[in-house]
Amino acid sequence: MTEYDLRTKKALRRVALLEYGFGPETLQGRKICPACGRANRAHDTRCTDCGAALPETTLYDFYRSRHRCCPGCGVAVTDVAVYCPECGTRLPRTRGEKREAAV
Amino acid sequence: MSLFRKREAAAQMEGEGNLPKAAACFATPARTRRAADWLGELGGCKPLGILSDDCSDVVWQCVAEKADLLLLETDFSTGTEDTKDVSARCDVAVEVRRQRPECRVYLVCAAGHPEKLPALDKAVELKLIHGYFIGDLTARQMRAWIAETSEAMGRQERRQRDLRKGEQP
Repeated sequence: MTEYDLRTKKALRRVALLEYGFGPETLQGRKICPACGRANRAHDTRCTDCGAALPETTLYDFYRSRHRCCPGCGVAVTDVAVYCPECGTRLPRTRGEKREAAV
Repeated sequence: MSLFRKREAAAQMEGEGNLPKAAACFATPARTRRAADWLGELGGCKPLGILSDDCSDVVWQCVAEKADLLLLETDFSTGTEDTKDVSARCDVAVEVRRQRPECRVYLVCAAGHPEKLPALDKAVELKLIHGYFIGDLTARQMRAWIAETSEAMGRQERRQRDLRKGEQP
């Protein structure tokens, strides 16, 4: 695969993620209403449906708390990954790995 | 005279040989025909309707007809069998520009889909497409896109001329 193919494939994936998927950019732009569950825009302070106060944290903060994410581009990576498959950043070790190394 | 004579022959006779070729591929063949007629009435370009919506057909026709500008319409209605969403249209744009890098691609999207805006903005940012318009395409916007295309064509012509000059001893 040529450099052009790789670049455009990656670019297309990012557009598709923004359109349908749950890439970091989509998640960073959404806040979930704790009362009714509606997805609101990140800069909203009140839910557009029920008017309840929205939390400070976005959907991405919740996602980060549940997944290991790349510090470079923000996508979720597996626990065993050493490099990010999306942007190639070297990933910091997980807590589990550190514990193993200490033992 | 044949009924199927090529449209650009008449245009060239009027001294409009350097006008950009604008290909339109809308959601349905009827809409494509209407868009091509509208472009013809607008002037400043040589219109071309691409009736088939298939990616390879669009690419083939753009290359064969040497299109300088491609207008693609998206369709966000859920009932459509084949997808004409932003990512699918970007796919077509990428393929067209792989074969014909000088072709500029613009998306025309229906209004009332704010959730598509981040994807559209990203597609422009990543240079998959050159621009997009939401709602019924206005003559002003189309003229701006035609002007951009003509400018890009002029730049390329000058570059090629300079290259040719450089090659001459």
